[in-house]
Amino acid sequence: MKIRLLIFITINILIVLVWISYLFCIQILDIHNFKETIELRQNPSKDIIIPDRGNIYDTNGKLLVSSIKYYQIDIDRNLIGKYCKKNRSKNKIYARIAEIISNNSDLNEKKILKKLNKKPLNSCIFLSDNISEAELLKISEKFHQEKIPGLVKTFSKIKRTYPYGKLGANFLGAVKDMEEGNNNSRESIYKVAGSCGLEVTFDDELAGEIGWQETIYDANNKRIPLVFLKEKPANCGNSLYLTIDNDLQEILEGNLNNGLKEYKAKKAIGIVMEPATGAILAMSGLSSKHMSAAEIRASANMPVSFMFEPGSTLKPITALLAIEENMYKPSDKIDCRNYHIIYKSEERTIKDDHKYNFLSFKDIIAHSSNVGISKIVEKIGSKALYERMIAFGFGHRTSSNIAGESSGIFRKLKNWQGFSLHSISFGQEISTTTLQLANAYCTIANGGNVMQPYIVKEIKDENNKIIKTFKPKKLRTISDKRSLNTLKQFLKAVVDYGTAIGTKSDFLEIAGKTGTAEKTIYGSKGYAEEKYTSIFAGFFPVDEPEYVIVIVYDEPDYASYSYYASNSAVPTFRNITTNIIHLPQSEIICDLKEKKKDFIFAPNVIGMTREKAIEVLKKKNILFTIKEFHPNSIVVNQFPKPNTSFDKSESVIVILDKEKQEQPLRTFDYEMPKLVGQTLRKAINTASKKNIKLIAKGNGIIISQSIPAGTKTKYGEKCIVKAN
Amino acid sequence: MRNFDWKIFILLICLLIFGVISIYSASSRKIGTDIQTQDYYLKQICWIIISIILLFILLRIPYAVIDLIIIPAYIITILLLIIVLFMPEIKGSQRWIILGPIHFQPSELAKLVTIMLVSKIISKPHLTGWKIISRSFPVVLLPTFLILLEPDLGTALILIVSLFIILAVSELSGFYLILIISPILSIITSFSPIFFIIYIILLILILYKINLSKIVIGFTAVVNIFFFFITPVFWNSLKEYQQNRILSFINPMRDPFGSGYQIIQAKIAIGSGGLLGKGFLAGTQKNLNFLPEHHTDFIFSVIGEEFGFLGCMFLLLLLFLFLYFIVRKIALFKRKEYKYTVVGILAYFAFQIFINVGMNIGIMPTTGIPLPFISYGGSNLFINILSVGIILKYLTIRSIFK
Repeated sequence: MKIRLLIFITINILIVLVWISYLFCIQILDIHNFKETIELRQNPSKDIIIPDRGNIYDTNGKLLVSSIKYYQIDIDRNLIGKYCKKNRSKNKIYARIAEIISNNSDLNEKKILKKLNKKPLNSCIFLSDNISEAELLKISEKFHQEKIPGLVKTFSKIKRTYPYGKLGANFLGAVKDMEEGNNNSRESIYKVAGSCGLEVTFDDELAGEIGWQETIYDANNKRIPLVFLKEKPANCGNSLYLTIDNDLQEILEGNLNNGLKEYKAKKAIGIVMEPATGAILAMSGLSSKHMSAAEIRASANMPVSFMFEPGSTLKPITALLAIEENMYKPSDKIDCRNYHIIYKSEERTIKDDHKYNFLSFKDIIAHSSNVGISKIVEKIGSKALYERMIAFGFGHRTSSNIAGESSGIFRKLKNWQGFSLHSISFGQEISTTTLQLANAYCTIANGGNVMQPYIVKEIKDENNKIIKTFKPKKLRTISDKRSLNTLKQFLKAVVDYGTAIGTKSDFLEIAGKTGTAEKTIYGSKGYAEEKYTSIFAGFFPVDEPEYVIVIVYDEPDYASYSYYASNSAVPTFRNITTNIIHLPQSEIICDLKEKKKDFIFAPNVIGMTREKAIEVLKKKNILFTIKEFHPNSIVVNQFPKPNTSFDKSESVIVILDKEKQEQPLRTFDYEMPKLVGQTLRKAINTASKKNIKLIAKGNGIIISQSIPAGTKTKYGEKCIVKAN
Repeated sequence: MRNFDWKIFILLICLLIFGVISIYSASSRKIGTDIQTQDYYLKQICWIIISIILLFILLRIPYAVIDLIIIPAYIITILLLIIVLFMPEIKGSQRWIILGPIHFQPSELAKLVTIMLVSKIISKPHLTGWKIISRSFPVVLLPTFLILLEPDLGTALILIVSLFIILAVSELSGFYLILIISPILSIITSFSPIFFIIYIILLILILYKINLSKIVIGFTAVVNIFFFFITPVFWNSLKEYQQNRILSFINPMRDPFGSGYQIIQAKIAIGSGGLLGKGFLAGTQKNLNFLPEHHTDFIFSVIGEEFGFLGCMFLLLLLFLFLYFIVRKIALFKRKEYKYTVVGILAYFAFQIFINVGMNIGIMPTTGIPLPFISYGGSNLFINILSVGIILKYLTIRSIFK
């Protein structure tokens, strides 16, 4: 009896000793390293705050690129289960959740329900990682209102958005998702980095600085608000303000796109620059290959990377040297018959497409005679031409800071061969980029200043404070004003009666030079047959040029003679010019108005037959020029446009064409097109085709139209559209 | 008051004060300088005052009344245990009888009443071993069975263990004790045949040494072998999740996010306390909500985290001294009934302490047994204090029978 009690007590004491020794082990000796475990738990973890990437705006502050944060949402079904015990049935709540989420995002309601009922039933279920910030806000508000628990939201990614779609995709560039730091570990930081175009050139500015926040989580994964926790807010990326004008960009891309299709070219490239500053106002390179917007963004920026032989567009440089040296007077006649040159027993005949006998110096440029320019360049000599070409910026990058720029190919003087001098004078044996060519014409247009082309005007931080301004930068001055003014007259002659007569305008002085260059194909000798580059470089107004525009078509259709610059690049230039001067903010026409006094309003002759139009114009004593492309055609267009004021001494250009006559019914009975959802510019185009007058309120994408789509409209009916 | 044992009473008060302090810490959450406290400690103080008053009333009641009450109390307890099965579930079991604001656990009452009744039954003179077993077992097994239905495995275990200790201390011959224990051992050893063979041989040798008849030895051997064979059959007939549940009850670390979660968190809390602890209210495991049930079953881990090894030792010393002072008095009892009751209560206290502390330091399965006098919980505290009251009462009247 006593022994048993003793045994009982001994066992108890033994157990106590075991407990105590174990306590000693874990508390004093700390065999399981619990202190460290606790410290890990106590040490605040750093939550990374992802900064907003900077936006890109055009010169007028129109948003070109912005970004949206996307979130992942999961549903914690365990929490819902607990909530259900108190309240409604689980299925009802699931149905409600599916309804809320599908109403506020593009997820399918049935699919959500299916996911919610997936086994195991008490786990957290992933729904989507593609919920934008705005959608998430709506969803979580609904959840909050109806007191439904279980919505788990985590940051997933940043996506760039482009309000204007493909517009400017070439130079804007693309971004890619990156993980910085240890890959696949929890410490890696999500980052969006530029991969192409402006996004990569100005990545440091756009990226912003990652912020962090120290946090301690409790067992329920709830954040504990401790006062001593530190945090560093994220610095949002700075925004870029470009020199690009969105309106011009739209005009350029729209016209190049039309040209690309019309002339069946491989590539269509264009640049609009401001000659006085070197600012790039619009820049585009389109390819006939079908590419998605993302693919274009990730591909090369053609205006600065694609190289081609500039052909006759280089002739003005030789001419300029000759003018400077007073070698010829503009009216001096030069023999332009086929010209045989012999160098080291090799013989070469320089020919012109159109045969001329004698041309004046001015007309050599105007009619683009290879023979004439070769004879001039012989007098100038290799060294002077080489130095001037280098001074104009050929053969090296323009220091424009645009990603992917190539330097072009221009051989060093010592590597020139027998016929190099002649070849280079009319633009062979040299490759340039569109930007180089445009910059050279800027120099001619602005009176000899070689400017540094630039595309970013300002960098502003998130509070609109200017961080950095890019001022126009003059690199060097070449030639003299007097010679350049003479050259401008030569180039004006090209438009007035030369190869580019197609873009002649009676109320606007335009100068330029065409170029039709044969293409060399990589790996083969000599020039390829039927493959040409068709180029036009021009500027206007001639006196004080505001725009330099270079249009390049790579391999336009041979069969339809589109390879002649005058048949492809020049018409595109003409369309672009017309669009630009008719922009509401364009001051060119206003300038013209101020200079001249006698203003009248242009009558509307569009849609009339030739006879009727002549009758109307004669009645009003208006001078006119008729351009008729087909006999028995009707007036399809007129410059100036109807109801715009113009100087009486100018003549109205009436363009007659057959095409529209084939559908005469349309001129009187139109159907209202659907304009909602289109951009204002596109809508104006569409409406003008149907002869509907649009009265626009606002700017951007159209949200309503006063005449519903599909209703029959009368000629010139007014439709009020609202845009935001 | 004559023969009132002040030492035990003062130790009891010390333990209760320590408990209130621990509950205050366990039910408050300190974040920065902001402290939020739930009112568990106030409720505990109320219960302590009520219980102490009852303790003194008990001391005034004549012994005969207590003696008379035992059997009716047992019947009422059984009725309450049946009623409790119709009560709403709280945290997956039906342990509480809810009367307005008061939640009462009849299983707590059952422990004390059963111990007293068993002691009364087996202290009758001239009882044979078989009679002791056949009378005491039904008395214990009935409430045990009802408690298991709730389910409350911990309390049921306490009852069985207390009965066994009472029987061990009584004049029951060793054979019966071995007969009771040996099937449990054969179940444990049945997982390895070699161990079982060694165990059977040892068992027979011991029985042979005590000079028992061959029939008895044969009977014991057959019973054990029966258990050896039936266990694997029973085990294999269980579904996998049932097997898992049993395995993770034995080894909680098998399931670190389920049944093992609390134990792991408690262990981390205690381990991080170190020698001196993190200081009053400063336990981070508790403040960050990692510790579940920290004012009831896992209060020892709060003590371990905030007061460290020394705090734990101090608490264990208080508990040891308290039990030691009672053990020292056992020899003084001349009346068997009192002796058995006191041993039963002692066993029940000791078992609770071992299981609870063992569970907190992570070497025993989670069974939902609170730490006596320290953990929050009205009915448990009430019955514990009442049990101490019974012991003190017996101590006051022992001289009469000297």
